[in-house]
Amino acid sequence: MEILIKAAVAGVAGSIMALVIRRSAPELSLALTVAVSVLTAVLAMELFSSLIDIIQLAETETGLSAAIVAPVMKCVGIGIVTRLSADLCKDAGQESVSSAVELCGAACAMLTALPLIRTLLQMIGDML
Amino acid sequence: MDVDLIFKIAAVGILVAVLNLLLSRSGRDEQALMVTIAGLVVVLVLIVQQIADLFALIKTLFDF
Repeated sequence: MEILIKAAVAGVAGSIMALVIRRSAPELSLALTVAVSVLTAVLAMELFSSLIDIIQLAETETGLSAAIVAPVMKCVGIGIVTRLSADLCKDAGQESVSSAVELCGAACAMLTALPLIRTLLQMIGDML
Repeated sequence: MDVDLIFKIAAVGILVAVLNLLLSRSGRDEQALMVTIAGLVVVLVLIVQQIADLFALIKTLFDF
């Protein structure tokens, strides 16, 4: 709870300060936005780490193989990184760079999910 | 999380903005540009380490 309040206060204060320096120093305003997002994301990641322990516990308890859970986790990570950087590019006014980053993220996620698709196809093949 | 970093960057921003205004009013536009670039480099040096830390954290967390 106090982590959320910390993130909220930092976000609001950072946004107001970015607004103050936007007119006179727009590039520093963007740098401030980047810093606020990165610090807030670090907070969120620290929360995620305890969630991941639970997921690993569920993985061992249900006997689900790591080959199935690992691509899902990787895709979550890829999604977070892609979304963060694409939004920062959009903030800088570079829509084309943002969509290129998103494209790269989508390609990476597809590549990560390939083993899952292969397992699915093999499963269907075994059934037939 | 160090909130200090946010305030530090905002302070650098305000300082650069004021210096920029003073220099460009006194007709030294190229020095104003230099001040802006110097401020940007200082802030980037501050931020880059944090960005690297975030990406390393995500990398270890979601075991890439």
